[in-house]
Amino acid sequence: MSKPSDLVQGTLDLLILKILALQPLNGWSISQRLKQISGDTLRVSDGSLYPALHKLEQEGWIKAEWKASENNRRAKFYSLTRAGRKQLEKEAANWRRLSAAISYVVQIEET
Amino acid sequence: MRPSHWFRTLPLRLRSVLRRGQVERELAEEFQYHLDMKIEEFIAAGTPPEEARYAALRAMDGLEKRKEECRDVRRVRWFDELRQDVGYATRILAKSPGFTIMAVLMLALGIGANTAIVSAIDALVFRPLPFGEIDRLVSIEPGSNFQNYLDIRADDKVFSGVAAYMGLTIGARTDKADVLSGRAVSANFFQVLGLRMTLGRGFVPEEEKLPGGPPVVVISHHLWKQSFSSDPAIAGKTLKLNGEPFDIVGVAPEDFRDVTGPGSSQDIWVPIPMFARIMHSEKWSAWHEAIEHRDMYPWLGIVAHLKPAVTLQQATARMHVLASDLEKAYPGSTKKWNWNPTVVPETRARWPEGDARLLYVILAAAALCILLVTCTNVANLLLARGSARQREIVTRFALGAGRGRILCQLLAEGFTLSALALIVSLLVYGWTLQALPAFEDSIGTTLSPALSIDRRALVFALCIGLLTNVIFGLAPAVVTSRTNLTAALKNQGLLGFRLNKNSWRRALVVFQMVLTVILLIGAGLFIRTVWHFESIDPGFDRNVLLFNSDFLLSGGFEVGTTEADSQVLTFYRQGLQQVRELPGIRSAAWAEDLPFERRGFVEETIRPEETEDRDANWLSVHCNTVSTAYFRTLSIPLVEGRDFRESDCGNPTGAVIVNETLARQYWPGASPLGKRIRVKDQKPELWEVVGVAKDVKYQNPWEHDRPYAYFPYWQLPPFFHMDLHVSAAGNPMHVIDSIRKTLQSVNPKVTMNNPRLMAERTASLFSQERAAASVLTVFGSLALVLAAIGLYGIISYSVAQRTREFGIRTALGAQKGDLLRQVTLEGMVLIVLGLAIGLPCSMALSRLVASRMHGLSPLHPGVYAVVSILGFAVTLCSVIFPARRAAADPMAALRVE
Repeated sequence: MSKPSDLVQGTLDLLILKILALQPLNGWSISQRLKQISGDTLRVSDGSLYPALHKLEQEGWIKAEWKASENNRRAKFYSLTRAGRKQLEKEAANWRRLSAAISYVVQIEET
Repeated sequence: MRPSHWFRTLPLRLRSVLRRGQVERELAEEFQYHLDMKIEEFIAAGTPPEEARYAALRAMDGLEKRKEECRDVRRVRWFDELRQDVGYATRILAKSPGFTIMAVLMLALGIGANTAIVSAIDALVFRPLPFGEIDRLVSIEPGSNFQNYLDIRADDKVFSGVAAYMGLTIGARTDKADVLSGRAVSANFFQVLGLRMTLGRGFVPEEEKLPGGPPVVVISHHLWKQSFSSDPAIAGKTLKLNGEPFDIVGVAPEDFRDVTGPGSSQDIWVPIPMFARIMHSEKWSAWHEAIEHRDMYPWLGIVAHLKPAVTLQQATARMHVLASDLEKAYPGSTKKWNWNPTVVPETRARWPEGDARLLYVILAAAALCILLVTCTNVANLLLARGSARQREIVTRFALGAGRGRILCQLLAEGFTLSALALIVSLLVYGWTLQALPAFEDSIGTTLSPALSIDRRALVFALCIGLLTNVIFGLAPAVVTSRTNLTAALKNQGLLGFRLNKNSWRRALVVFQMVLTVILLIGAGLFIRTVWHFESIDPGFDRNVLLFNSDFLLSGGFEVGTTEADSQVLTFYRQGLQQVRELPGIRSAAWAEDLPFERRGFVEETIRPEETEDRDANWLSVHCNTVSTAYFRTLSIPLVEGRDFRESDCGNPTGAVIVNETLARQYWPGASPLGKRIRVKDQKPELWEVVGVAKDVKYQNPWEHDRPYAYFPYWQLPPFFHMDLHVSAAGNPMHVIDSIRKTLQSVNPKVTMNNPRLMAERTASLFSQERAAASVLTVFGSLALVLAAIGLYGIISYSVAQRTREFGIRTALGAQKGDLLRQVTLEGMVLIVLGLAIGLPCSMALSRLVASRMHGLSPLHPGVYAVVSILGFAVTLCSVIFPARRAAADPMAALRVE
C-alpha cells in the first residue's frame, strides 16, 4: 500500500489555521474536519497532525484550552490567536500566489 | 526567531520546563483522547474491539515517535538531557564518596582562597574611588616647600588646581585621650582632588593665612561615625586636639582615607598653618623657617589637576620654566635642593605605595597557583576515573550515544563537582576573610571594614568556579571521550588508549611540581631574608623597654618657649632621676631617635673644625639627642673616651659622641678625642668629641657604615620629644607600672602609652616579608601535598594496570628489587622533570622579589637546594608506597587471572 503523497511543505499548517479560524476544535475534530473538507484528496495521517498542532502552539499562532468535548470528555481545544489570524492571511495570500503560478505553468501549452 | 515572538511564547516554554510533569500528562491525555475516538470509530465501522485498538495505533504511525516529535517541537530537549546528565552525575558521584569529597574539598580550597584574596585586593585597590577626575590628577615629584608652592599654585598655565599636603603626619590627642593621625593640607586640597564632602565643606583660603587663621578641622568619615555617631549636625562642633579647640567644618567622603593611597589612613585634616597649632610649635624657629624660607627642602607633597588636553610632558616643561624663574627671582631657592620637578600621573590612589604592592602581587599569584594546582589535581582524578570507566563509556558508545552526548555527560559531572565545591568554598572564603586581618600590619591599613561577603565576591567565585570546571573538566572529558570503539571493546586493546591518557596525567603532575617549586622557592627566599637580617646583631640590646612620650604634645607641656623648654627639660631630668632609683632598673635613658625608625628632621650638617676646604667637608649626618647612660642602657660599647656628663653643661663648647665610621671619615688614623666639629646653624657652634661609640645598625639591619653623632639633650634640645629607654634587671614587663606611676608623680598631666620592647619594634620591620613568607609557605606546602597526591594516584594506577605484567615477570625470574626500582624510576622521572623546569622558572621569577631581599642574592643556592631536596623527598614517598605494593606480591595477580 503506497502512502498518500506528503502535503506540500507548510500546507498542513495553512489547513489547520483555516479550520481553526472557523471555530475552536480539539485534535480529533480537526482530523475529522480535514477528512470531511478534502475527502480523500488530502490524507493527513493522524500522527502527523499533533506535532503540527504543537508547533503552531509553540509559534504562538494558536492557543490551547482544556474544555469538555461534545461527548462530555476533557479534551484539548485549539483556537486561533491574533497572531495566528495574521499568519493565516499571510499564508493564504502566499498560497494563492503559489497556486496561481503553478496553474499558469501547468496550463502552458506544449508546442 | 524574532525577539518579540520569542518573548510572547516564553510562558509556554517556561511551562514546558518547569511544569514538566503536567505537560507530559497533558500530552498523554491528548493522544489518548484521539486514540479512544479512533477506536470508537473503528468499532462503529464494525471492526472487533481487539483489532480496533491496534488499527487505531497503526493509524497513529507510532504513538511514542509522535509524542517525541511533539516534545522536540517544544525545543526543550536540551533541558531534559541536562537534567538527566546532572541526575546521572549526582548518582555516579554519590557512588564514589571518597573521590567526590576529595575533589570537592580541593576545588573549594582553590576557589575559596582565591575569592578571599581577590576580594581583599578588590576592596583595597579596585573599589570605586572618591576622586573626581582621577585621570587628570598628577603629582609633582619631588614636592615643594611652602613659599615655592604658593608660586606654583599661582601659575595657571597647565594646572587647574594645585594642592599641597605635609609628608609629616600629625599625632593629636583628643580630650578623650584618643590619639588621632592627621595631615596638614592646603586650603584647596579637597577641591583639587575633587572630593565630595559627606557633610559640610573643605577649607577656604582665609583658613590658610599665616600665622594661622581660625582653627578648623575636617574629620574622616570613620572618625565621624566612631566618635560622633554620625551626628548630622557635626559642622560647627568643637574637637579638642592636643588641648586646642578646633571647629569641625566638614566630614571627608567615606572612601577617602589618605592622599598617599590605600596604604594609610588619616582621621583629621587641618590647614597647613594649623600644624604648628596642634603640634605646639608656633614659636619654634624651625617651623617659621619651614614656612617662610624659600631654600627649605621640599617638605610638601604636591597633587595637581591637569587642565584639559594638557599632557604630562607639557606640564613637566612648564614646571621647569617655573623652577628656573624661581631660581632667578630667589637665588638658591631651587638649586640648593637640585629641585628638578617632573609631573607624573597620580597612581597611588589605586595602587598602594611600592612596598605593600609586592605583597598583593604575591598573595594573588600564590592564590592563582593554588587554584591551578587544585584544578590539575581534580583533572587528574577525573582522568583516572575516566580510565576506570572506560568500559562504561565504550558501552554507551556502542549503544549509539554520540560523542557530544558523552562529552556533555562527563562535563555534567565536572559541573556538579564545581557546584558542590562552590558551596563549600564559601566556608573557606569565610575562614580566609577572618585570617586576612592578621596581615593588616604588613599591608599597613585596616581591611576589616572593607571585607564582607559581598555580591562582587560571590560573582567572582561563581566565575572562577565555572572556569575551573572548564580547566579541570573539559580536558579530561575530551580525552576520555576520544575513544577508539573497536579497539576498546577488545579487552586488551585498551593499551594504546591508556598510554595516551597517562601522558596527559603525567604532564599535569609535572606542571604541579613546577608550580610547587616556584611557590616553595618564593617562601624560601623570604624566610631566608627574615632569618638573615634577624640574625644580624644590630649592636644594641633588644631587650630594652621603650616608653613613647607623646605626652609632650598632649597638653602636658607647652613646648617651644624658653620657659616651657626648661619645664620639659626639668621633667626629663627629674623623671629620669626618679626612674633610675626604682628597684629592678638596671639603667635608663632618654633618646630622641629610635633605632630602625628615623624621624623626619633629626639631622645636622657638620664638618671638622680645622679643615682646608671650608665648603667641601660639610656633611649631613643623622644624629640622636640623648641623656646620660644611653650607651649603657642599650649596651652600645664606647670604643674610646667617655659618656656624657651632666657637668658638660655650661662649657662654651658642647660635648659630642661620634660613631666609629664618622671618626674614621674625619680623622683617619688619628684619635678623635679632643677634636672639635662645627655644627651648622646651631648654638654652640663648636663641639668637642668626648667619646667614640661602636657602630650599630641605625635605620635597618642591611645598612653599612653610616656616620652618626650623639648630642646631649641639655645642650642641643630635641626637635621632637624623647622616648624613655629602660633596661630592667629582671623581666622588663614587671617594671612598667612603677615607671608609669613615677613619671606621673613628676607631672600628673603625663600619660604614657603602652611601652614596647625594642625586639618587637625591630621585628615589625620585617612584617611584610614575614607575611609573604607565611603565605607562600602555607600555599607551597599545600601545593606540595597536592602534587604528591597526584603523583601517588598516577603511580598506583600504573601499578594496578601492570599487575599482570609484574606477575609474569616475577614468574620469569625478576626480583622484587627490579620491579621496585622500575616503578620508582618511573615516578622519579616526573619529579626530576618538574624540578628541572621549576628551578629555572623560579630563578627567573626570583628577580621580582630581589628588591625585598636588601642585597641578598635571590639565587641563593641553599634555598634552591633545600627546596629541591624537600620536594624530591616528599614526592618520592608518594612513589615508593605504590611501588612497594607492586613488588609485594605480583603472583597474586596471576592467581586472580
